[in-house]
Amino acid sequence: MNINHESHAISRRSFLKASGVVGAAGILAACGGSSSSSTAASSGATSAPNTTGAAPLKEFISWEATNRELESWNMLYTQMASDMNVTTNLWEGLLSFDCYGKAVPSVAKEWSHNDDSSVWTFNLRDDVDWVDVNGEVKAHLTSKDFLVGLEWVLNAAKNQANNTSMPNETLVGAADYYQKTSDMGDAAADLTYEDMLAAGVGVEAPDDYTLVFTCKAPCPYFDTVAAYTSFYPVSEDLITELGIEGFRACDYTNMWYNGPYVVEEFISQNTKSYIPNPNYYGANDVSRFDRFTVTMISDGTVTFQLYQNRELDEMDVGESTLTTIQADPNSEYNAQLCEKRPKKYSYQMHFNYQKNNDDGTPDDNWNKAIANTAFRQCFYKGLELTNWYARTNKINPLKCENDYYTMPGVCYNTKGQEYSTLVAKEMGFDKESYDGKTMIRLRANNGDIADLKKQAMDELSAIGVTFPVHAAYYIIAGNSTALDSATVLKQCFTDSFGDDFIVLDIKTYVSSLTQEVRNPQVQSFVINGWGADFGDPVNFVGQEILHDDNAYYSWYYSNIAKIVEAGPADWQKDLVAAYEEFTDLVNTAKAIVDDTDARYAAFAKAEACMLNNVLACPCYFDVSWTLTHANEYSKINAMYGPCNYKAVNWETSEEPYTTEQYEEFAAAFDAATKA
Amino acid sequence: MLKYTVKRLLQSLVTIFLIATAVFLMMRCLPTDYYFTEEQLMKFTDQQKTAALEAAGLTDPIPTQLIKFYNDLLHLDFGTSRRIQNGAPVVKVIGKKFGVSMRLGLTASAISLVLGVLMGILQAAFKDKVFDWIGTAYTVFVNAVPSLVSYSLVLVLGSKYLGFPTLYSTRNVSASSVLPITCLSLASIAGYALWTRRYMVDELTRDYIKLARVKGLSSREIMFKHVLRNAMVPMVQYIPQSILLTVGGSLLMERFFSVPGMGPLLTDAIQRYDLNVVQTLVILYAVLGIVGVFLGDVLMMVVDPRITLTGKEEAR
Repeated sequence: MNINHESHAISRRSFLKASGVVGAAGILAACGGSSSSSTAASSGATSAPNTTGAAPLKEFISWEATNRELESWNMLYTQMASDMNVTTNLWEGLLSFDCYGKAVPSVAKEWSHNDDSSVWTFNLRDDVDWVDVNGEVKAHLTSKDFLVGLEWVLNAAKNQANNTSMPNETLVGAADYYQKTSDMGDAAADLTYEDMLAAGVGVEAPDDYTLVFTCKAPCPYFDTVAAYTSFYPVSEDLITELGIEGFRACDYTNMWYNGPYVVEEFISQNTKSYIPNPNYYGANDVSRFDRFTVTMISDGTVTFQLYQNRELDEMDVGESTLTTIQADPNSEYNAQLCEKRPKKYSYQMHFNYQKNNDDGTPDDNWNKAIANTAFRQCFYKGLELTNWYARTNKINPLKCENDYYTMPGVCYNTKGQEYSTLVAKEMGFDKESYDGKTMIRLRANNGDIADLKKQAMDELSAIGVTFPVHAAYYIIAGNSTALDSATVLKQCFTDSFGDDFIVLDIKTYVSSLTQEVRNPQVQSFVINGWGADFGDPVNFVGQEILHDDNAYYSWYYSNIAKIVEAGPADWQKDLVAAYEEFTDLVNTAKAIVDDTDARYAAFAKAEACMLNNVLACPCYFDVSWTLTHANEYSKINAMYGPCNYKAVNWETSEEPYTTEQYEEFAAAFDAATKA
Repeated sequence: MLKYTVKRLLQSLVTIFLIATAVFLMMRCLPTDYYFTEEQLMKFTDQQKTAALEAAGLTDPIPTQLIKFYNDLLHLDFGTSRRIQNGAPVVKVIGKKFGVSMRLGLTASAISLVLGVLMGILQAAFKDKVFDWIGTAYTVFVNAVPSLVSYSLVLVLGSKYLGFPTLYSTRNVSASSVLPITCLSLASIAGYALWTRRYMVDELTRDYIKLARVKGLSSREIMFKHVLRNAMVPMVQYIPQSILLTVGGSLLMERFFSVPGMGPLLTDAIQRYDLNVVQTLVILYAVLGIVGVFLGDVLMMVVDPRITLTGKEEAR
């Protein structure tokens, strides 16, 4: 089946039908990047989207926290989102994304797969060049560069095991080739892409502009996998020029670029600025800034001052700044507070089913309690978190409510239904919507868990559990923001459960949650956000299943895999049975590879099973506020892949956007995605 | 003097050796999980983790690692950074930041020294008068108010009302350095003023000052030729050290104004388990500290020839 990228995107007609508002045209323009505007904003032949008639910015100054400074310029080597946020502007892969998160052509102009989705063919553009930091052409990009890139990633002596997990799990022969290079030691550095092909790795380049991947098993979402950095290209000439060590440690002065920008300046911990790549193949397809600058900021108190001075064009508004602005009714910024889209992470409360006390002995009181279904259901059906959400979003706290495990927007079925709506239907929430007053999942019984609480206490008392049950929740020491949030969460526990039932104990770790908390298993639960690696629900729910070495949360957070491996206690048998049921449902869904709708429906059923049994408890989405000169809704908004910080096709305004304008953008975006 | 220098040099080498060894061993005491990022911990298999540690030499016995470390140190090979700037030589990573911190630090030191000492002299000369009260109030304010608050005040006043750039910028170094230098100087000025005043007031009560007055020396002559010179003796030994250590930058100020200097480098390197950077920085700071103390001794001897560094009456 050939996948035309236009079919992935929201069409102009359907979009206008759906939204019918001024902002709708704006969103279209923002995502299309080719609409006309009265004021050309940026370099190249393409004008920036402009839906409000504002004067767009030619240069843009964004920011990043100093503790997220770039560590590696090598797109193939790094696994850090903070690095990819930079390098995505410099380096292009097979696919990119639009502002709805749909895959769109990048170096690959079109792609297709065979009937069972096990063989994927990507047809590449023939006008892509590699340039140096001065924008001078160094080489022409062909399909061979993707082979060289994949060989680099899979070669343990070259990429030191970074970014291997996705190709190893999907491509024929990839894991074996990685193992071979690992066994060879330093000698593997002499291997080339031809050796990789000879070893039978499932990739080939029939000609200069065609790339064919063969998957181990049918993989209907492989295009979203191929968008990841593991599959990015690199020129063999560059590796030859820099050497293995040199390329691994390449920096902006000696790397080659094929992305929309080249680096103009980089001062570690201070600034980095990009200017347009003069030989960018997509110059006529997307709009770019004449200069895009990222300023490093360590102290949140500085950002508001910077924004006021126009030394920044956008800033996140923290709780204290928000309070300051709202306390002054005459502040001009009151009308400029704009609510952002949720970040791409779905935060969950991951219970630990094998908790230890601080002395290393098992905490049977907690372990018995959390193994009880009614006890867990109290979390999902009774924990009222509005005040806690207000720590993130003071104005609309319930926008942070998360009732599902999989992040909305990860995938859509062929009818255009977003996956989490299928889960909502399974859970019986599909008729409910945000009202700004009550949590959706508490509406059924107004958060009254008296019966569940009584049931849990009766059942648990019978097996020797004493009340209140203490839940250990760890935060980093010395962080007053984390402590304030934890204190509010503790109050939510008290208000929702009563101190006779569950009490939250706030504890601290010094520097590493993994080392100090998760490895010794001393937490009762950890709140963690998961962002997708690719566009399929298995990337979320697959982390929680049994009998799978790659199920990260099962092994390292809930520890349920270890319980099953060692053999569960009597009081854990119901819990394990629920996990087994959930695992079976996930595996059933995974096996459906020829019918996307049926696959997603099956995953939704599995996820509903997980949520009904509260194997993990969904917590929140990160929805914060901003003061900005950029239309957030025009930015790339992929739930996976490294492209979200690519500064192309941004709609901007010399004047700050207003709350009203942002509400229109949001309404248009929602209408478009629902359409 | 030569004997003293050789003795101090040998002591310094032993000190640096001990410090380098202690830091090396302490860093190796950390669990190796710190070697990996959270992403790597999540995505690497156990085998991959082991391979990465082996490649980094972290699975070798500690004595083997230590011998290699000494050998590299003797050849002035400080290795490459792993996390701060992947693959870049540590010397290059530090070198880029060294100059920025030193430039700001030296400027701030010079300003502080001149203004601080001048303020102290005036306070001593006009003791218990308005100027003394103002100086004392400034000193109390700077020492009592947390640095972050005084930096915020400087930032708001400087950027909002005087129009200086809020953050350090390489495109506008002069203007964007004003606020960081001001913040760096605030405390130092107070420090120099406080000690200058104190030592001068002490000296003013001495008998030789009364004798000088009786002999008819002018107040100016007494203040500058006798009082200031003697008051400076206890202070000068710290000046070289404080100047040299400006290279280390100011963690708080550099973070606050996004100055790409040395200040946050050590804490960042420790947090990211960047062993080579941590070891090199600690050795660098140890060397600077030792050289600073040595130069301070020499300077003190120059200012007051009665002080000798060797012999029975050695001062130190």
